[in-house]
Amino acid sequence: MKKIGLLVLSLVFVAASSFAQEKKTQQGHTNQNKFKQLKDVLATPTSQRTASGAPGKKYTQQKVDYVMDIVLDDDKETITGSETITYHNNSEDELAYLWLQLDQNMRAADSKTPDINPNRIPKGLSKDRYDKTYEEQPFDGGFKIMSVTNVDGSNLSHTINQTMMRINLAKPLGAGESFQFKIKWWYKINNHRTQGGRSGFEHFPDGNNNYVIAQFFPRLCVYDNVEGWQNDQFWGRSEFALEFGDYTVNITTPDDHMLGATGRLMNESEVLTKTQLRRLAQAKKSYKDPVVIHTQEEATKIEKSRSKKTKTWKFFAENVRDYAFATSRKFIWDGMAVDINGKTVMAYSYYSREANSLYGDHSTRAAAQTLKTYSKYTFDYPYHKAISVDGQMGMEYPMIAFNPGRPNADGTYTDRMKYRMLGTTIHEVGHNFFPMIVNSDERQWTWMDEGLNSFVQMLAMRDYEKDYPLGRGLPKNIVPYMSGDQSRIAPIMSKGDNVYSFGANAYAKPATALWILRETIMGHELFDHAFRTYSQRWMFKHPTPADFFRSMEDASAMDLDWFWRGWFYTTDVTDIGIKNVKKFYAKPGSDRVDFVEDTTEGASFKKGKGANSKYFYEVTFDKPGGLVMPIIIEFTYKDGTKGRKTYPAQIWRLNDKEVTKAIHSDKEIINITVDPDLETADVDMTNNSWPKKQDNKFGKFKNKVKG
Amino acid sequence: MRTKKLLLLFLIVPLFAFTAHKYYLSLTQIEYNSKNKSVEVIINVFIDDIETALTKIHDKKFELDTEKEFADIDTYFFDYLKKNVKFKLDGKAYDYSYIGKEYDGDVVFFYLEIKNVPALKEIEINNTILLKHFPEQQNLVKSKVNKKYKSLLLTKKEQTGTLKY
Repeated sequence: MKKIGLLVLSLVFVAASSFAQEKKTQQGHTNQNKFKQLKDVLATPTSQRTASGAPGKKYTQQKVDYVMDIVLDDDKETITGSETITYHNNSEDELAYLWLQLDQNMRAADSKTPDINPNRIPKGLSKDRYDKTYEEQPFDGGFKIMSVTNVDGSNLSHTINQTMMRINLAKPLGAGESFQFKIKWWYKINNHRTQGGRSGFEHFPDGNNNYVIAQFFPRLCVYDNVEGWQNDQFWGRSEFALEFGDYTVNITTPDDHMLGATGRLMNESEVLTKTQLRRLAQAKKSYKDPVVIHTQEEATKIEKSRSKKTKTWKFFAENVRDYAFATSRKFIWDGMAVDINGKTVMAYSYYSREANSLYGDHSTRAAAQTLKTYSKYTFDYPYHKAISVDGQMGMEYPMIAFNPGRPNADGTYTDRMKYRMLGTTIHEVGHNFFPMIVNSDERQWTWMDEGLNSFVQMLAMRDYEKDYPLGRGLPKNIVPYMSGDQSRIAPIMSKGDNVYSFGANAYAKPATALWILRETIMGHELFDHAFRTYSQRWMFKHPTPADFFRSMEDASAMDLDWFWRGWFYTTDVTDIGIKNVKKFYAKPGSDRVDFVEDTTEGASFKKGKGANSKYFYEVTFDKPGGLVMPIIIEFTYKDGTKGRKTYPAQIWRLNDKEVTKAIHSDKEIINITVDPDLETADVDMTNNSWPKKQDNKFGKFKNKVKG
Repeated sequence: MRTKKLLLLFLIVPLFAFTAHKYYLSLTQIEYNSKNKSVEVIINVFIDDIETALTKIHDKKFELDTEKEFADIDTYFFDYLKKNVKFKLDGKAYDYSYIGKEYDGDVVFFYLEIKNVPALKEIEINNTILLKHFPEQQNLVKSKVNKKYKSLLLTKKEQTGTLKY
């Protein structure tokens, strides 16, 4: 009876309130809920890319095979190549033209790259820099295309648009057909230490050059059903994607050079000495420590003279997406065997004496650890080797990476020098997995390989050393970036060329997002299975962001659309606080229990007469930050013990600003802290505790200093 | 045209460092302690970057947070800060004392204190930390004064800013 009365009464109120508002027409709105599904943001699934995030039955991919003869001229610092390209059109489309990437044209005299970067007159320059800037001719490092021909030698029509070249086919290339053609080219190699770049040489006072050569030949663009031809111009920053194929490469260098390259060396006995071959055989059995195959003493002796003779290194690389090599008469070479689930893979390093002992101590070991850890979280490393080169930059290619870091002149190095070198080495060797094998489009979606790679890198660093000091990727370390000036922050889902703070945007923030997913949202088991599923589904294929987002959800039964939306599509930040806490005690009566609020100041409790032993708290959490995140709370009890509770992010689904939870406890609570372990990248910790923390970071430090 | 090309190269080189922290940022947190009548300042910068700056300025190798760190390193820090961070409170220039520093991972925190500030309505801060050595450097300033939160971003273009409460 009572209930019906209430119902009638509430109906009256509803009627009254709607009557009162009748004059004001309310405006509607679209679905702004942070948990709204991403269905209208992600591409519609097809039989090529399924709704589960896996490649579909009709998924196709082009294949491009290269046969190349490369000549490196150490005196003139030029590289000359002739390549025969076989393009296999595995798509169902007819192609009227093919597109190739001419990355070196970014350094051509008429490159437009400088023109898109604003600049000013500096206050002053060193004399040397002034001359280079204002007096000397600009360096022309662009491709000189000598010929583009059919296999019969006749000219093949082509058009160059900056860093892209179109091959105009005489007749369209049908589905399932192949086309073969030849290109001859040369270019002047840049000094990457003074002119920048991801390829080039480093010049030493002793007259020698260390060459790290990449992006050095006209390479086919990816053609797929997502973007058609991936022929976005190369402006110098955003990297690239390429088709997989087989490479047969002959590289001619001075006779006294030591060379490392993508692929299997096919003429070992022609280019290596008997001693080197013997040591190489030892290295292939050494799973614990690297074996030096070409020693520092030997390299030091060789670098003092210059052979006029040449030799040709012959390689074959199966199913790779690119090709690179490093060569110098200064290079020391070591290697060790790595056991990947019963298969032996080799980790090698090539480095000059200037990089020793840092490289001798850590380079090959770091490469080996990278292969092990990444194989554990993705798939067994499918190639036979991975190389780390003292290239004094940080750049990756299939089976070979160019890394930074040199010790002091006396060979000693600090921990920070060690960790900086290790961090990059693990990162670049890790790129063998993303994007060399899981081949996403870096020019469009930098984070897909840089972010994923920076994340797995953290796991590999911890495997290399248990207490490895992690920096980038930990949630607390992204706070300065995420809480910075919003006009200089872009969502992760932005093109790399167009963002400020590229490193934070495309490397650190996505790595942090994945770290949070694994540690805080999904847990290791669910995350690892889903991440492995994605990696294995897309190995040797071209995934898109949607394929990643969908696979992670499909394999884990976790709806993560809210997480992708917030962390990847917006620049929102995490900020969750405790707005207020009300304390209650319970007074049991004969047939009901009444709750009585205790209004004592702060955390102290004063129970009234007849109260039972329990403590009740009504905690109101507010969320000044736009990101939806779980609420992780730590209780400190009066007896000094602690307890934890995590409310899933879905607690915010009905109210994005504020939620209230009733908490009951057998023990009196003296403190409640939100995100006690700094795992959500909360940008403002001053509102995270109850009662409000009195002593600030400054006061604490000052007291500590005073002793 | 030529000018542009070479200057571009300066700009590109830092972008090619692939795993270093890659963003150049310092954070200055200012809080007015009305009880002590003091302004408490915490500045954090990347150790790598301040090490590079000090090495260039003094033309000798600084190895921060290692056994080889100079015993009088705090003198260098304080000297660098005095030259690069200046405060005017309600229009009047104030000196600060250097309470100390604290290393945490790849970041160093500096603790500075301005004493005898009876009231505070406006802070003018000139912050040129690392601007000379890293053209992309951004110096973020966050403050809490009289329960009001204000922040600003200082760069090579804008090296001084004012916060009003």
